[in-house]
Amino acid sequence: MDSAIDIKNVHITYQTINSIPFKQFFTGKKVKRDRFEAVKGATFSVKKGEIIGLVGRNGSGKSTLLRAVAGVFSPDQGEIDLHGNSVSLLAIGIGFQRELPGSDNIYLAGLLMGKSLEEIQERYDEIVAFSELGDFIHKPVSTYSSGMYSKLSFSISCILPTDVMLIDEVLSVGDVAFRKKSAAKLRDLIREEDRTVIIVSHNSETIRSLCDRVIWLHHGEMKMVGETNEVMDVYEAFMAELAQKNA
Amino acid sequence: MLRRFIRDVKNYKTYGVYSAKATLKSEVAGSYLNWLWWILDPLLFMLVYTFIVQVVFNKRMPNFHIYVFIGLNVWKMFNSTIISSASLIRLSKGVLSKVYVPKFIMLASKIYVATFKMVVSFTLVFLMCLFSGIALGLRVLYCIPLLAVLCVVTFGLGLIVMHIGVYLKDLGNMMNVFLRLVYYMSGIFFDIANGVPYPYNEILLKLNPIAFIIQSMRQAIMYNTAPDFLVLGFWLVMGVLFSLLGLSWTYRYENNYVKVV
Repeated sequence: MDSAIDIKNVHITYQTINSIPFKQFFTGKKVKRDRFEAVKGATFSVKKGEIIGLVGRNGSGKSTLLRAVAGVFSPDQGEIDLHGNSVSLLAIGIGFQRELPGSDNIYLAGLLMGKSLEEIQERYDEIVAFSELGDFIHKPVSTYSSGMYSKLSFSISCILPTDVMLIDEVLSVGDVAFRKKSAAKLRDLIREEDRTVIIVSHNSETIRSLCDRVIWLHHGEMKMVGETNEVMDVYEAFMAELAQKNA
Repeated sequence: MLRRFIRDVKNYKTYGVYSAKATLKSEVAGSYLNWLWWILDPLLFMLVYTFIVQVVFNKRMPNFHIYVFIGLNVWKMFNSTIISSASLIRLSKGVLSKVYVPKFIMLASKIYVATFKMVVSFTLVFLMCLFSGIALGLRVLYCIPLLAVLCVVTFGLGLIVMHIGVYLKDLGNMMNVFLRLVYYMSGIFFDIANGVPYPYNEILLKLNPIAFIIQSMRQAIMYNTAPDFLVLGFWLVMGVLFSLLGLSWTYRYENNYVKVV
């Protein structure tokens, strides 16, 4: 099988040169450049149609790696090759122009996912229906509750799927009814033959039920890669031990 | 870099235009008076300046209101774009942290919005000319290249401000003061050529692109006179140079933008 994503020795560094106040220009204080390497040399390939789980503690570089794959920023070192596949990142709480209504944001988000205006137009009604927003779709996104916000974001990604989907801990958005519906929809999408998926989740249940393989990131390094159950057994044991130590 | 720029323009043109149109639409939909503000704002300021100059300072000048109105419109387009570009990246964080968008597209979208408003407002200039008995000549068409140069210069400067604005938090405040200075040096409500002593008037009109463009637009509309092509060409070249510098900066560092803001 062809690989859909090739990741070679990827390093991503955050330089916390927080935007500085002007005063510092005159006082001439050296700007502190704290470097923080979030991902330290990740290397793996994802085959076309494969579903990969990404696990690890908070701050282990999972989301950073996903964002790099989505192209939000490029790695400081190493290579990410998507072989021309279209990609979308599904994450909580990001992605809209807040002063614009939901309807326009559907189009804008779709365009950025590489869809054409016609394609979006065709599926527009479906997106609105799935999001359950009703008339709110014509109100500015800034008036939305956080639940509505996630529902819209989720609906767009689900109805306009890309070749590669990156899912960052969003399998639990909205109320129970919506959650059930979205989980079912997502499962259908993910299981489609050609869809390549990377899922970040802290929910072992989700990972075990969906993923073909699992990658465990620890402090930015790849601690373990392998069959889902194999990795998850070790990972869960590790986490249990950690919880015991902290208790 | 240029090849990348052209490719990006091709790929993201639809997005930029849609975003601009949606912004315009949402402003219109917001309340009935809203799009009228595009015209009302310069119109009211025109009345203020006309009152101050003609009544308080008792300086008579034929068709002064049109004169001010042209200046205010050009200024508004330039000013609003530059001010907003200082915090553009921070304000677009929501979108930028989810997908890759070439950052210049965000700025281009802003310029589209500002220029559209300006053009709408400019229709009033021609109406006022009609009522004041100013015969528009063919040279009015020089407004088009002047507008083009204004857009290029604004784009270039905006890119540079946008890039620095990512790293410098109080750039917005600094720009407010600096732009106020430029405002008074652009001859919005006075005539630089005759009101400022030589050689400063020459210097201002040549080295301040806004003063030059405002002055030239007035000449084209009110006096049917061609602009100084040498200066126009100079600012076109400068605008392109600013744009190239801004593009090379944003392309080189945009990778870090999301990490910083």
